[in-house]
Amino acid sequence: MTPPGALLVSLPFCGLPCPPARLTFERDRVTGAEGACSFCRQEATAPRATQARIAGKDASIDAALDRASELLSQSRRPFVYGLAASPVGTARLAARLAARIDAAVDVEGGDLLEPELGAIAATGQVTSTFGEMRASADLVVLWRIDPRATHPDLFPRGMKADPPAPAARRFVVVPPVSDHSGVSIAPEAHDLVVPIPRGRDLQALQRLRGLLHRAPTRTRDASLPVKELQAAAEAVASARRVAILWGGGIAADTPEGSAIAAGFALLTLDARPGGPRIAAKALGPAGNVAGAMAGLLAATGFPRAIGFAAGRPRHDPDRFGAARLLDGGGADLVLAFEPLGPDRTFAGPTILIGSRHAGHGPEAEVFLPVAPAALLGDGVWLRADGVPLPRRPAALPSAVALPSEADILAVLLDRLRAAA
Amino acid sequence: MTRKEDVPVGTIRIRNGSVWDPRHGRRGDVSDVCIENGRVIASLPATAPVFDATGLVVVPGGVDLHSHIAGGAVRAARLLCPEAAGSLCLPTIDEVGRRYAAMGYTTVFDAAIAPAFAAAAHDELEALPILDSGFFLLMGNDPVTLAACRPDEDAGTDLEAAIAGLLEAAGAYAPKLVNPGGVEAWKRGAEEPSIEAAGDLLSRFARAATALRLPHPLHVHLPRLGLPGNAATTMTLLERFGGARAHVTHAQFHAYGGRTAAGFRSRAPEIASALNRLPHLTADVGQVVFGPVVTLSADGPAQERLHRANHRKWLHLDVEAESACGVVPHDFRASNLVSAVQWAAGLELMLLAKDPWRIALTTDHPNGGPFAAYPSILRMLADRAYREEILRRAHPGLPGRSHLAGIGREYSFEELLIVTRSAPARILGLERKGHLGPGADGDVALYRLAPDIETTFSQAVATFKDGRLAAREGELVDARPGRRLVAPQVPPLPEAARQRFLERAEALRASTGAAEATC
Repeated sequence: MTPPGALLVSLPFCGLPCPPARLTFERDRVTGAEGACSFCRQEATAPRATQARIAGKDASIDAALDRASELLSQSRRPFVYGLAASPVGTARLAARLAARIDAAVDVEGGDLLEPELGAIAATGQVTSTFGEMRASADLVVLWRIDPRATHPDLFPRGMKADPPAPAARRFVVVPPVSDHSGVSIAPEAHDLVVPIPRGRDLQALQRLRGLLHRAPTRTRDASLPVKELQAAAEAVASARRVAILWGGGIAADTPEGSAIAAGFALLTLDARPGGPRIAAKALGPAGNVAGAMAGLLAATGFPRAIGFAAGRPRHDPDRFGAARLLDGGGADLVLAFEPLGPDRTFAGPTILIGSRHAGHGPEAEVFLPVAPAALLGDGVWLRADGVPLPRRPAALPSAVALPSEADILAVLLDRLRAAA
Repeated sequence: MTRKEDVPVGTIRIRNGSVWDPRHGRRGDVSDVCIENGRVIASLPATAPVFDATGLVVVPGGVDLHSHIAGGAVRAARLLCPEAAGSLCLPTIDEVGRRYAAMGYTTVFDAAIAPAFAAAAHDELEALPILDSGFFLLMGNDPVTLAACRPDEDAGTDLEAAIAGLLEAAGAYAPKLVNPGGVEAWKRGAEEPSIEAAGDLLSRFARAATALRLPHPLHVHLPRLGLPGNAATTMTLLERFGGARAHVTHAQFHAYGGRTAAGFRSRAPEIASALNRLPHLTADVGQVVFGPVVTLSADGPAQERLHRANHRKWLHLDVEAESACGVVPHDFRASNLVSAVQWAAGLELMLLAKDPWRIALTTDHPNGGPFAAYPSILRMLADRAYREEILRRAHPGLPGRSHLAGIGREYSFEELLIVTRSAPARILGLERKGHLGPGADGDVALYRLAPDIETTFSQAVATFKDGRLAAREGELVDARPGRRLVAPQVPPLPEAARQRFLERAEALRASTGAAEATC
């Protein structure tokens, strides 16, 4: 029996630069977590399930694999979904499985980043990793998102480093802002606050671009805080390196979403000689969303919302995204890598591959337990900026020998091949 | 060369083929190639499994020493150009393995991985079917190596320690410089270093890499890529390596004359002449192929220049205060004079290289064109009439801007094998690649000779990897991933230099907030 112990680990759940966590454990169960962010602590200590189940009853792994293979073979519109709590390699294998059964595949949380993905594919963008922002940005614009309170390591104060970090970094904040869990965060004392009304982000971005390029304003928009926008434009114009982090949700929830994302992209591409260098990045939900997209990109050429029915991968968020396939009744079976969230209305059968089966909806038809890859240091995990976390040796002792997601997918692929 | 992991290997007698092995002077003698447990040996018992190669040519597996197939830059290219998904320029990782293996290639190196992205590159390469792979690590625009280059530093040992430390931490194969100092300056909005300053950096890095006795020397992407008149810069910088070994990559992109785009012309003969004269230098060509491409490079300023010139979309990523990555789609058109000059310059470099053992065929995939175009380029090298036919279809101004029409050389079959396998293997320092002598890896390609070279090399009849049949007639037979090739351990370095490297690496980590590898 493994004695109680403690480990210092970097947790990958939040997708941001997160301080190490000190985990305490008994056997292979995490009993406590200190440090890191609240989201990572919560994920690390969430109860894990180790027993395979079929239709709510305990079963052997083999029987569960048989039933899962049977369901996948019978399904006419299968959907592979989740992957944001899995290492990159899982996404590559999931794409292979989806191709085998003509399924669609999507990343949980990927829809929040779709406007930025679309803007990048349309015009391009200048962007930056978090470390580059931290090391060089003398002005940071936080537009409807503020990770400073939950992730102080992102823009620490009084940082001594080589090269020297900007001595007096300034912040422009567009409220309201919240952290990963949706808790509202008040701007800090020295922030330049630009109170843009909800739903006026596009107009505000256009005005900001106009101010930066001294373009005449054709129409007056009384709802915009002109004085504050002018001050923000002056702050941007006088900076050397500007980093913009914006909440991807503001573009995902509106028909103007593409234009908003394009607005941020164009701000970065408009840079003029002698002016500031501007880099922008949308922040989506927590998780290994960037890693899942990287895995799908390598395997299919597309980051999310991919269908294989035509014999080759195709990207179409309207047809192959979670909104249609889960909530619009487009799928008749879901192979999920985490329990479906409370906002999902899918009521058909689900095969769940994961380390916990407690979800918000009906229990999965088949539950295939796997080892908690994030806690075991298994595979590669990316931050939201695409930078991988360091590979780590196994962090948590394993008392129960559970397969990995890759093991499960390999068996399913073998059985589907054999069945075909 | 060390190997990170072992994969099961095969035993096979490839019987009665026409064996070509430039390293051992074999030019088509009909005999057997025997492979036991993945390695070529002199003979096998009569009971060993047999693959009948009667009527086929048997050659070492191809080695691509400069390609972009994995990691952060390729990911960025896929995000910017979903319209190119699955194309020859941006194949999926499975397709990269399949297409290379189908052409008889068995080893590939990704040419530019930022230290921050090393773990992701390893993860992706682990999924690459069949091919042994490795990568070159970007340096020379980060505070760790630039600080170690300062004149007051300790006689080069600091830089040696930095290079060795970074290679080891990343699991990389060789150091790579991209426009040293230039990308870092551009990110700050400053002028790129003078040629004199860039030459100093090149010289210091090349000496340090040579002192480390790495199997592959410093891999260099020179400054001023793509600019009219950059040949003068290139020739100046080629002299700055002194006697230190270095590999000059995609030399074609650095071989231009003229002051502006209007006067753009090839000065490839002068670059070829300089390379011929400097035996410590090797090069690959970076051949341009007519058609659409997706360019991707850590040379941020060069990519921004291309974006401003061709008005196409541009994705740029600043990476962790140590590197950058820019992506721009482009179209090399035969009817465009600049594109045509670039195409001709690459062929001139290859055709005027006196020693094929010091030059390798590359397209800098996907920058100059897809690696799948190698068979077509081989035909251009081997068939003067074929390349003159293309020359006639190109921009009418090309003959006045290039020297290609006057070059009569045609590569022999042996020379084609040298520039696609034997030379790249030797340049990389891969003792067990690029030949079929005893002890070599059982990486073998079998081709059916066709009336033209392009058809011959377009599809191997069979590709063996470590003695296993990996691909046959273009289809994968055994798609298991190959091995990772990483730099060997370097000679011991002064402890003080190693400590200063660790302090600088820690300072960079503190400035970017990168997570420590905790456990």
